[in-house]
Amino acid sequence: MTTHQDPATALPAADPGEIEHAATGRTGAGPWHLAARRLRRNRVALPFGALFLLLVAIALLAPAFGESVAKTGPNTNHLSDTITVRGQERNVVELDGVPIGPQYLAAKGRYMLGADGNGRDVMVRLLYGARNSLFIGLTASLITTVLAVTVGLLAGYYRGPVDAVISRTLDSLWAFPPVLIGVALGVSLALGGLDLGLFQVRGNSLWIPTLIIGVVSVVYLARPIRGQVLSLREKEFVEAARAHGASDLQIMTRELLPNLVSTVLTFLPVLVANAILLEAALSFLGAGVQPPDPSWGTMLANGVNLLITSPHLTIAPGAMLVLTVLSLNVFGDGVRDALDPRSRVKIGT
Amino acid sequence: MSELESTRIGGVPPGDRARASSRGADPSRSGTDVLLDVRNVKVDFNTENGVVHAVDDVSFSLAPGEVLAVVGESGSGKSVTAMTLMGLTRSPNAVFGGSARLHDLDLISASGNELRRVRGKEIAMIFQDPMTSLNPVHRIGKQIVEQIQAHEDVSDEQAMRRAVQVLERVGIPRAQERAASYPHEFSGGMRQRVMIAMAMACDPAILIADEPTTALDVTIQAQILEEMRALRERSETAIILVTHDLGVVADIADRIAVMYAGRIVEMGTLDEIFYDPQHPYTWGLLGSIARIDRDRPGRLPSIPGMPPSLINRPQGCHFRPRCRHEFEACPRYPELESRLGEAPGHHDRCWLSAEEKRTRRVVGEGERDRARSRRCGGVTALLEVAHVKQHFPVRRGVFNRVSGHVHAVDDVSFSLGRGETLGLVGESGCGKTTLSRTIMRLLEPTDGTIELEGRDISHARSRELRPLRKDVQMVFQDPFASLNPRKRIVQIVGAPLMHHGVPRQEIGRRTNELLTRVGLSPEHANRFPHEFSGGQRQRIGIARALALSPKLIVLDEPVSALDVSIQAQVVNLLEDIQEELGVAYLFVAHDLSVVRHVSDRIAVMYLGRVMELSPSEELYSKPIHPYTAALLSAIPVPDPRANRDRRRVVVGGEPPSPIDPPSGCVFRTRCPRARELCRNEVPRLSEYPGGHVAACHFPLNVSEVEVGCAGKSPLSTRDSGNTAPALVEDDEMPLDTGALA
Ligand SMILES: Nc1ncnc2c1ncn2[C@@H]1O[C@H](COP(=O)(O)OP(=O)(O)OP(=O)(O)O)[C@@H](O)[C@H]1O
Ligand code: SF4
Ligand code: SF4
Ligand SMILES: [Mg+2]
Repeated sequence: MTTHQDPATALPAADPGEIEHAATGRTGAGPWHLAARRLRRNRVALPFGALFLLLVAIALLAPAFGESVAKTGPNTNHLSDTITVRGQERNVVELDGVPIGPQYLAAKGRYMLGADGNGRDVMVRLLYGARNSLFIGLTASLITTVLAVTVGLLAGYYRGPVDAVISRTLDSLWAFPPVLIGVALGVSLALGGLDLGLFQVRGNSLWIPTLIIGVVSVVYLARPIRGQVLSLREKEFVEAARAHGASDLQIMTRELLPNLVSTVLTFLPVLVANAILLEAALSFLGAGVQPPDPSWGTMLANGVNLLITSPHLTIAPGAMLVLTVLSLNVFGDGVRDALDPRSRVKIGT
Repeated sequence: MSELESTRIGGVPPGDRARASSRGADPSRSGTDVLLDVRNVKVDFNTENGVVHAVDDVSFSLAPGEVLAVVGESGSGKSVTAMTLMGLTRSPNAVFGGSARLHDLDLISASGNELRRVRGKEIAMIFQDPMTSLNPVHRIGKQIVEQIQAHEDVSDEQAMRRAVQVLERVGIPRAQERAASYPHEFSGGMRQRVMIAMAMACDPAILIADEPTTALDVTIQAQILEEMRALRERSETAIILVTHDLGVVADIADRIAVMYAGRIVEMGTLDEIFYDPQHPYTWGLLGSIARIDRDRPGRLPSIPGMPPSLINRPQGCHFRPRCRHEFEACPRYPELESRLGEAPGHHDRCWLSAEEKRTRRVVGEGERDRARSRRCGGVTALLEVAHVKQHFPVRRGVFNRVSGHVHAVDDVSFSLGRGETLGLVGESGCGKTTLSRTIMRLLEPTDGTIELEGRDISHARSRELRPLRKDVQMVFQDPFASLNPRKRIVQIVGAPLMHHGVPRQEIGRRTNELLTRVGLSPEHANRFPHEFSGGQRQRIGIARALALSPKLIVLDEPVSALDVSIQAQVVNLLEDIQEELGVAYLFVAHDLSVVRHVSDRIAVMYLGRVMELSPSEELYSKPIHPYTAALLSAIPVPDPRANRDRRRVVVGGEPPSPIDPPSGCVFRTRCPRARELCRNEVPRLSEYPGGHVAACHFPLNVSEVEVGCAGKSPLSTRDSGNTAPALVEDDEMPLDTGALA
C-alpha cells in the first residue's frame, strides 16, 4: 500500500507568522470547544446525560402532576378514602393496613404507583421526593465544589503549615464514615434546628442535610484538587506569573483555577450521584429529610415496614435512585473521556 | 576560514569515503549482506482531525555492523519509523503498509507473538528518557535477567552472570554489586548505560536507539557514544540511531537518512551527506547549526517557516513551501532515487539537476558579514551578583531532621552590563537554573547580594519586589509548560501589563504590537497555546517577557527544546530584539555552540561554582580551565573529517553530589590535571590575559609567568593564601585543545 498521490490541498507558504496547526481544524477553538465536540460524538454518554435531564424535568413538573392528574398533594393522607378502579370502589388502605398497589392508568392517573401506609399517592411523593433529592444532591455538590476548590487551592499552593492543617482536618473527616457524621450531626440539628444569629434554620429544613452532605463530601474532591495544584504550582507558567509580579491571589484565581475546571467537571457527576445516595442513606436513618416531607430515602424507610405486602413502596424510589446514579455515572465517564484527549477511543474512518 | 568556505557546506567534492567503506556499508550493494530490508513502509494514524501520514514510503536496508542515522526535524516521523519496526506503534487507529524483512519475518505484518519472539532477541531498542524506561521497583540485575530468560532457557545463575558481564561491558564500575541496585540509585548517564546493557543482553542483531543521548550532558554523551562504538565493533550489531543532533551523527554514523514530513528526502553515506548534500532541506539543516568549529556568523542561517501539517501535506515535493529553489517541476512528486552518476548509493528527492544543486548549495543568504560587535566591559553595570549562595536543606528520617545541604549555588559573583549578553553553561544539576531563579528573586539567596542598578534586591519582600519585577523578566525552557493551557494568547501576553495596571484597551494594542514584534500575527491573539508549535510558543514566551520593557531578560535554555532550524529563527529573533531595545540577556544553556553564538561573555559553572568567565571567543579558542577544555572537547562537531582527526578527551566519571562537594577544587575528582594542592586548597578566581577569569591552580594555555603573576580577580573573595602554584610542565597537559583552537 503505497500512495504516491498527495492530498490536493497544498499548504500555503508557511512563514513563521502563518499558523497551520494540525491539531485543530478551526482557529481559536479552546480546550472547552474540543471537549464539547468530543462529548457530542459520544454515543453512550449523551443518552444517559439526557436521561438525567429528563429526571430533573419530571421533578420540576411534580406540582403540576399532583394538581391536575393525581389530584392530591405529597403529604395528604387518604387513610379512609376510596377510589374507583374500572368502576369498582376500592379502599385506598385496606382495614388490615395494606395499601393499594400500583394502578398504572386504571384509576385515571390516581395511585399510578399505589399508595403508602397513610394512603398517600406514591407517584406524587416520588416526584416531590425527586425534587428534594435532586435539590439536595445538586446544591450539596455545589457547596462541596466551592469548599473543596478553596481548601485544595490553599493547601496545594501554600503547602507547609497551611497544608498540614487542612490535610489533617480532611484526614480526620475521612476517617469517619460520612454516614456516621451525617447521622450524628443530622439528628442533633434536626431536633434543635440551627441558630446562627442572622440565619435561623428550622429542624426540618432541607438545608440541614444539604449542608451536612456538602461538607462531608469535601474530602473526596479536595484531595485530587490539592494534588493537582501541587503539580501545577511547579509549572513554569506559574513561575512566569510570579516573575511579572502577580500576587498569590491572582495566581490562584487567574492561573490555577482555570486549570482545575476540568477536574471539577470530571468529578461533578459522581459527586452529585454520591450526594443523592448519601441523602437517601441519611433520610433512611432519619437524619436527613424529616417526615412528612418526601424524599427517596424517607420513602425507602417507610417502605421497608411493608416490604412483603407492598414491595412497590421500596421498588419505586429504589429504581429512581438506581436510574439517577447510573445516568450520572455513565455521563460522568463520558465527560472524563471528553476532557482527557489521551483516552483511547477508536476513531472511525 | 574564508568567507567563501564558510558559506558553502564543505566545498569538497565527493570521493572521500574512507570510513564508510571500512565498515562495508556501501548502500548500493544489494542482496548478499542485508540484515534488515525495509520497503515502502507507510504508517497512517486516524485522528479526530483527519489522517496523519506519519511515515510514508520509507525504504532502506541495513547491513550487519552498520550505523544508520535517521535525522530530521521534530515530527518528521523518525520515532514512528523506529517504533514501527519494533511493533510499538500498533493501535486501533494505526494503519500500516509496506514491509520490513528481518531474516524471513516481516516485522510489519508479523503477529504479536512472532514479534515478541524477535523483540529483545533480534532487535532491541533504547529510548530517550533513561528515567522512565526502567522499572523503578526491580533491581537492575533482575531486570536484565528477566530480559535474558524471556528468550533463552538459562538458569538464574547463568543469566545473572551474563547480566553482570553486560553491565561491565557498558562501563558500570563494580558491576557485581551494582546489579543489586535499584534504578533510582543510578544517575541519568548510568541508567542509559544500563538500558544499553539490557538491550545488548541477548546480543541482538539490530539496536534501535531513539535519541539515546539527548537527555544527557555532553561529557556523559561522549562516554555513551564511545560505548556504542565499542559495542558495534565487538559484536557487529547494526544500529539505527534516531537523532536530531548532527554532531552525534558525524561522530558515529556510517550512513544517514534525512527525513522530512514522513519521508526520506535524502540518503547516503556520512561523507556524501556532509560534504555533498543534494537536497535543499539537508542544506538547511546543516546550515542552521550553531557550530563551535567555525567562525561565528553574524546571524544563524535558518530554514524559513516550519514543517507542514502531516494531515494536509503540500502536493509534490513536501519541502516546497519552505524551499528557496522551487521551480516548475516541484509540484510533481519526486521519487527517492539516485540522481548522481558517480554515487549510485546516494539517493535524494529533489528535482534540481546535480550541477544546479552544486552551484546553488549556499547557506545563510549572505548575512554572515553582519557580525555584531561584542560588548565587553566598559559598560555600566546593570546587575551585580556578589558571593551568592543558594543552599537547600536536605531532610531525612521521621523527624525531618536537616541532614545536610545541597550546595546548588556556591559563592557565585559576576556583573552584567546594559545590553550585554552573558552566557551561563554547565552540565545538568550544576546550578544554572537555581542561579537564574535566584536572580529573578523567585528564590531568596542563602547568602550574598544581588544588586539591580545599584539597588540591593537580595532580601526584598514580595511587595517591594513587585514594582521591580518590571525590569527583569524571564523566558522559560519548556515551551509547553510555560504557557497556561487554559488561557488565550492575548491573556497570556497581556497578563504582565494587567498586573501593572495598564488599562484594558491599551493592553489589546500592546499585545498586538508585541505579537508582531516576535513574528506572530495579531490574529493569533485569540487562540490557545495548544494551537502553536514549539517555536511559536517560545515566541509567545518572548513576547510576554518583553511586555513590560525589561532591562534584563533571563533566558533559561530558551531554545534547547526546539529543532535546529527553529532554534536559529528564535536565536536570530533574540539578537534582533537586543539590537533594537538594548536589553541585556542572561542566556542559560547547556549547548555550548548556541551560547557561543549569542554571548559576549560566558560563565562556565560546575557544581554550583563558576569555573571560568571569559569573553566568548577567548573561551572557545583558548580555554584556561581544564573543565572548560573538557566540555569543549566533548562536543561532537558536525564535520566527520574533523571528528576523525580530532583528538578527543573523554572525561571519565560524573559530577559528584552537590550535597557533599569535594574539598578544594570541586572539579578535582574528574580533572586530569589534579594534584595534591587541588585537594587541599580552593582555587580562587584569577584574571589572566585576554580577559579570562578562571579558578584553577594549574591552568591551561597560560605560560608559567602568567600563572605566577595572575591577578586576583576583583570578583573573587576567597582568601586562600597566595601560594604560588606548582610549575606547569608541558608534558602534563593531557587535554589537547589544539584541534579546537
Ligand atoms: N499514535 C499517534 N497518533 C496520531 N499521530 C501520531 C501518533 N504517533 C505519532 N504521531 C504523529 O506522527 C508524526 C511523526 O512523529 P514522530 O514521533 O515520528 O516524529 P519524530 O521525527 O520522532 O520527532 P521528534 O524529533 O520530536 O522525536 C507527528 O506528527 C506525530 O504527531
Ligand atoms: S524538488 Fe523543488 S521544492 Fe523540492 S527541494 Fe527540490 S527544488 Fe525545492
Ligand atoms: S584546580 Fe586542580 S583539580 Fe581543579 S581544575 Fe585546576 S588542576 Fe584541575
Ligand atoms: Mg522522536
